[in-house]
Amino acid sequence: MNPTGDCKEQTLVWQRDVPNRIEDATAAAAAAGHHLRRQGVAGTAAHAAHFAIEEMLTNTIKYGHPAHPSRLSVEIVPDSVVVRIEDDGQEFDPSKSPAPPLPANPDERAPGGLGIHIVRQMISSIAYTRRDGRNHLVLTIAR
Amino acid sequence: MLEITHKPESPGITIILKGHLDAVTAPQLEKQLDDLFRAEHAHIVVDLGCVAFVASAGLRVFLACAKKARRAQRGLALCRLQPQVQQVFELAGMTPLFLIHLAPENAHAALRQRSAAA
Repeated sequence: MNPTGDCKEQTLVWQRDVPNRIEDATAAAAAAGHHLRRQGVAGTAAHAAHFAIEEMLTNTIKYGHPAHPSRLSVEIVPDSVVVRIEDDGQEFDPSKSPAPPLPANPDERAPGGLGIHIVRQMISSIAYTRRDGRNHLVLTIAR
Repeated sequence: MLEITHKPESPGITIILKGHLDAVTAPQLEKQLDDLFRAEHAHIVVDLGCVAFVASAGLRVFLACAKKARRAQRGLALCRLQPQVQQVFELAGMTPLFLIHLAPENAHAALRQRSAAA
């Protein structure tokens, strides 16, 4: 509290611009998870945010070929964590990507699509829009 | 960051991982596992007790490893999965593809039994 006693409302938004390198994507995802744990968010939700950010950012770098850094923000609201990711890569709506088949024989498994499939099961909602040549992704994770 | 150490457990070997298995560290693990397959250990147990995070890139390494193990008729088991890592394996439908044990010694015993029965 400051000496005059007026208490400014704290907005718990954590934000980063993430360069288009796998190392930076991975580090930003881990840092977001760390931030959430430090703020008292339960381990399960912090882990889901870490996992979702790692998968979405690395996916964008590998396949979306963005020209500029992606904008990542993490906000803690009363009953959830809201992750926003914005990039200028190719248009891609992860909410529409089909679930991959998961046969029990490892030889029949294709390596792709696994990350997004796991993310969609971990989080409560996923919203995608394409605006002004940019992908806008909002992931909501129950706390 | 991922630290990879080995502990021989004749006729197999335990690989002890510590850190995060993500898109950066997964290729390091893949290379180490390839080297171990070439070294002809009868079986490999991967100890994930000190791994707090496994991304899909990490799952793909284990999937590739399961395929190689099948082809080379080597035993492969995982042990000491932390709850959040176990959840990732489950959501990926990957738990039926692996022998998963609570302790490395149980994993080695199961693999020894399995090769004796074969």
